[in-house]
Amino acid sequence: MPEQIIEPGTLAARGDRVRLSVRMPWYRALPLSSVADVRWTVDGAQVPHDSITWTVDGRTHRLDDLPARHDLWWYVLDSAELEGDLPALDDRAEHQVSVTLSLYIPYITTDLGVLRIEEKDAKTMPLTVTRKGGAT
Amino acid sequence: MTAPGTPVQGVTLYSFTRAFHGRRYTFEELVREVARRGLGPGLELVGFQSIKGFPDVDPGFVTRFRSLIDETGLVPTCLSANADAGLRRDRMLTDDELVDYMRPQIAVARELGFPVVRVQISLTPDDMERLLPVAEQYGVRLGLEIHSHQHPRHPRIQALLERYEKLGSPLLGFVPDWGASLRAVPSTLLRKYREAGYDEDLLTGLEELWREHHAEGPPMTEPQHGRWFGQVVELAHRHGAGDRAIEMAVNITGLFGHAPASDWADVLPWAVHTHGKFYEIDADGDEPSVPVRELIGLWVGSGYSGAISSEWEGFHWNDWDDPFEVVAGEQALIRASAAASGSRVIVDPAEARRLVGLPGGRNI
Repeated sequence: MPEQIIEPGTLAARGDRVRLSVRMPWYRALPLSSVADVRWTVDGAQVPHDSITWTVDGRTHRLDDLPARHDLWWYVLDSAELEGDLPALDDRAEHQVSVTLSLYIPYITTDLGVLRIEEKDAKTMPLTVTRKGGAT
Repeated sequence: MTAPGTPVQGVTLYSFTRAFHGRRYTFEELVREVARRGLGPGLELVGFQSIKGFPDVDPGFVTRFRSLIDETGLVPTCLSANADAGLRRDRMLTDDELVDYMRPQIAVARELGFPVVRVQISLTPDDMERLLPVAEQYGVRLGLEIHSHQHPRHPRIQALLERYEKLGSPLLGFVPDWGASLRAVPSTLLRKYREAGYDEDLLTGLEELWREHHAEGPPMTEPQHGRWFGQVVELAHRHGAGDRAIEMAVNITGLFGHAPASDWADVLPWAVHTHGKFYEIDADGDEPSVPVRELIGLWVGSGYSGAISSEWEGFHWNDWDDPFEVVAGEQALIRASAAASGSRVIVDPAEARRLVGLPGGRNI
């Protein structure tokens, strides 16, 4: 269900940071250690990988910190909020957003290791801008 | 001669993944909808799907779930647990860790009133033997799911069967999943790929590979399955579908199994629950990709009177059919097939409860 990854209307900028809500393209809760990679672009420009944070259940993690967190879970109904450095954007009302999520599926193991799937979604949506220090 | 079995009709909420994930139905609303439409009486859940925090389930949820069961008259049949051997990134879980990982999931089944816990292939015969006292403690049966690309004759399943026969406990068994016995690639998947713009040569190639694998028979070794997987990946790349290659390989070699229906005969005496996996119902009410009539003939003939959860997995790609209607379609096919086999399917909750039972262990 890759088309359910990006939540419509959730692209928002505040100061030099950009946010987006994403859903899991799988049917059951997964440990945060299952999140193998996140690639995120806005108008074709990469949100820098090192700048991306991942928030579920009110806890924020750097992407590099996720592999060790097999003790925390991403529930199927919960959105994960991505935040990262805002790339230079085109000046237009609607923006092209793409997210590729790579997930390990912890109960499907083969001789090649744990199954890793990659699902991509792309949507067009407006950007909500909030001034830094302003209400969100 | 074995008396004909009377399987219990039911459904797993997994069939409604798209509606639940899309937040169109809450968990409680889904359960009520299943009851309202008569898709029970059997009810199965995937713990990690339906319950946030699973297997750490708070007492409030247990109370609410039990009232929901009383209110709807549904009959809990199976709680699907997961054997997440690949939980960690640095290494696989050890056998000790995996056995400990299963324990709370089994305990929750008892609390929620499920008589059967579905477990998965990462568990070895030794692990199952070590889980037997846990099953005894909580009074539930453990069914290891036989899911494509495994199948009844697969060496790992045969090793489990041998151990079950040695231990002779009614609390250890299997959950056969009909996805191990397909007869064709589901047409809805090909339709979806076609709509996504993939060329006809790729679609024909996928079907041809599937038929070649079918002629080879269900895979007996991991390298054999790995070779098939690689063939699909290579085919997808050759047709410019590299970005969907893994998904196509998972579908073609992982979901659509090749076991002849008759292969199930060995393990059916050990079946504690069944996943009536299906993908589509055609205009004649048949399932073109899963031989439901033949499977039901075998199930009934073997004396199987456990639950069959209709498990619609077409939702992965099929976003146009109503999941409640396709489940009703498979259940009608199952009922007609049982009648054609000289038996019937149980839809009465009291009869269903008597057949699938309740958890009933000691010292709780």
